[in-house]
Amino acid sequence: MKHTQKAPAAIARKPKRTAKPAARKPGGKAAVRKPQRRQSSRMAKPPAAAKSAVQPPPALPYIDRGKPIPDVYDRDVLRMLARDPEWVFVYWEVTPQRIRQLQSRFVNLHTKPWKVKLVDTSSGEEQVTPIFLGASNWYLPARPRTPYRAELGFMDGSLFVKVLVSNEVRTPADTVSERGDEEWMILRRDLMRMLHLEHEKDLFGMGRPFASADRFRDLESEEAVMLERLAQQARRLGSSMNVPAKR
Amino acid sequence: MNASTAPAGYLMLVLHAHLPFVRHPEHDEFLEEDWLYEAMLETYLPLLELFGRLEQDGVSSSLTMTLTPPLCEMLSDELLIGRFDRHLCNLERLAVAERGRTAHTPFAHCAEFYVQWLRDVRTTFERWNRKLVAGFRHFQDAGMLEVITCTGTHCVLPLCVTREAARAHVRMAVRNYEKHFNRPPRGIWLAECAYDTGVETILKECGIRYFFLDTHGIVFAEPRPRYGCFAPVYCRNGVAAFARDIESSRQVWSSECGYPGDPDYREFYRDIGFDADDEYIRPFLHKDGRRRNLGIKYHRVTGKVALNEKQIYQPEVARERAAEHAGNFMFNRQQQVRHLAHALGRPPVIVAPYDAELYGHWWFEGPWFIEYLFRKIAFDQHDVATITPAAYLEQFPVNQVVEPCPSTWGDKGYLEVWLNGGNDWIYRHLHRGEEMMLELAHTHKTPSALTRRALNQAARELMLAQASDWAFIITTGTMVPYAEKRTRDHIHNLLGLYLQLTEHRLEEHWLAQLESQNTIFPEMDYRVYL
Repeated sequence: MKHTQKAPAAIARKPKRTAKPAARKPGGKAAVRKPQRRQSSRMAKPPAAAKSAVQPPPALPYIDRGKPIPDVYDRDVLRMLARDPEWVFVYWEVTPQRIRQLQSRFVNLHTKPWKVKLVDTSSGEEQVTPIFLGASNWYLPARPRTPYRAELGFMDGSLFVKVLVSNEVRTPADTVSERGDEEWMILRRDLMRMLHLEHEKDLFGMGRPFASADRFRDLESEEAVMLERLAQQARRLGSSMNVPAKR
Repeated sequence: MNASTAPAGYLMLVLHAHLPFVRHPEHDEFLEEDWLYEAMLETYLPLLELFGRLEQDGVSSSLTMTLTPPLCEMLSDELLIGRFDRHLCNLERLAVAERGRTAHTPFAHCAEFYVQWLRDVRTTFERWNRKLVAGFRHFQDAGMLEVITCTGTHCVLPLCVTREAARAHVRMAVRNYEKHFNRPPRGIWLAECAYDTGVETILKECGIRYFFLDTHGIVFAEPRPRYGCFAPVYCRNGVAAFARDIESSRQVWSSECGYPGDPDYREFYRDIGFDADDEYIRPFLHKDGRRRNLGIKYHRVTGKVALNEKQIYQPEVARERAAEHAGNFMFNRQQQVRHLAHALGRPPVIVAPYDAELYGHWWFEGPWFIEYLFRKIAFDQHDVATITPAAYLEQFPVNQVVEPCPSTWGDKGYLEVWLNGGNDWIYRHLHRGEEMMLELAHTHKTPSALTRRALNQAARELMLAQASDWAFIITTGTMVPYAEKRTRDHIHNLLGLYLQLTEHRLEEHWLAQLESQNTIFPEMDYRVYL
């Protein structure tokens, strides 16, 4: 569908969304000084007095990157996050204690290749990726709409020795669903509002609860029609049928 | 409304107002606090001003607006409001000086405009007794605005690993909203529109009735949505979701063809803070003398030209352009709803969400555009009516049940902006922080007064670390050291409190320091983690 009114001329301008700060220059207290430009030895005059030919590099500016935090937390963990339909992110920590335990069971552990196994928990399909244990995190290719579990371990010959198991995640969709079956809902409170009711029991009760006098009159006339029909049937069939007396 | 006047469809304009909680009492001036002052000056106060005019003129308007908890807290903070007043006074002095300096030059008219503009800002600021939240609350109570909340400190819930931590953010959001608006929130803006399966369970527990998604959050839902993104859907538990319309977004957001790029609009990147002589402008800068944006800008976009070739800004011409664009936007929505109503067999709702700061701060004429848009919709046509989410659900209570698609409104539609090689290092710390906070909450059922303070401060530190802003800033590469510092500082503080609590050696002096600096959520109760 086209809209005939044109938008203003295309001008490349502000980015779609940027960080809130508008400052053009880097913030904080640090100022980055340009390195000193050294003259070519051919251009420079001979120094009048003996001076060191090598100038010390300029001092690095101090940039406050925050208070110290540990790199690791001394806990064995393997955790996974689904980043998008095609990638999952895993990070891990394998404690020294765990390594020692493994070393006591497996000879030459340091020579064994470490891997992350990505398991499709719906099909059982596995995908093994060699990793460097010291990296402590990895991005693994995945498929959309798929549940996964990750396992961190190493190869002992042809056997994968599982050391840690992750949480389970499901990658999101990247296409319109194949399913077209529809289900519709109205919230209870909205239904009650439409029916002008406070509680479901107001639908029932002793006698006939009516939302309004008009509704009573409508029901009364409907009842009259029903009774007349019954009476007609009785007249056709004979007088044995009891027709309820009209109140 | 009878059948002859019923609109063909609805426009749901949503402004998401958010800034990360930045407050540095330890410094007299702090550059990153300027984010708040610029947004107050150019967005929030002009919005309050235009709502006031619409109210005075009896113009019907239905706008949905997020005021995130961190923003509400900052707008209510005495220190920050006092500093904004100082910021405004500084600009008022500069504007008067500029009027004198530019007299009899081509810039004189523009300088005079700023004097008047700042006067209007000051008037609005004082009208609400410097309490901007009260202003928004007034317009909500008057039925012109529906204010919704946001996930705690603007945390991306799918990046939490425990349900309790995600739920704590929503609980605090509800609590904070009730404090500021005297009633519970009906809706929520998930930070970054970040949704994952299960979020709706938390929302329902907290009494939230609806939330928002990016377009593909509904379009990729299971099963297919019959009405695409032009009607809300229900999650299985009855919480409703609305999804963004691409067409209306592109007309404003697009850097190539969006309205803000018009040649007559004010150029953001020519500012007197950088253009003026050093000696002249120094008294108006921070004490460190570093040049920065001050908000007085004399040039217009002009076109695809170098910054030094920009032409002089003419406010009246820009205002006319804003009126034209509002008319264009309305016309396009009319065409859109007529077409969709015919195709869908039901009045569509066009959901048009934007960062609030786009209007006024990045696009100076944005608030004028909004005001013209509401006036034109109210008086110039009958096809489109503005509506809020609650009102739409009341009119159209029967909706399709789907399982929304996990998604965000970030670049590429998922989590890459907040989870990539530059910022993924933060998550092992945030996740460990969640575990520590849960452990603390479960092991301290009847704490002493001092212990309770420490527990509450630990919760604040964790929530502040989890703000999506830090990971976002690291990705965009703008103020990376500050974002990294904030992440590390809060994790460090949380770790320190955790160790002191578990080892029963609380240092009250250090705790008091943290409480005086990281003051968000005075009403914090660590038991939101239970």
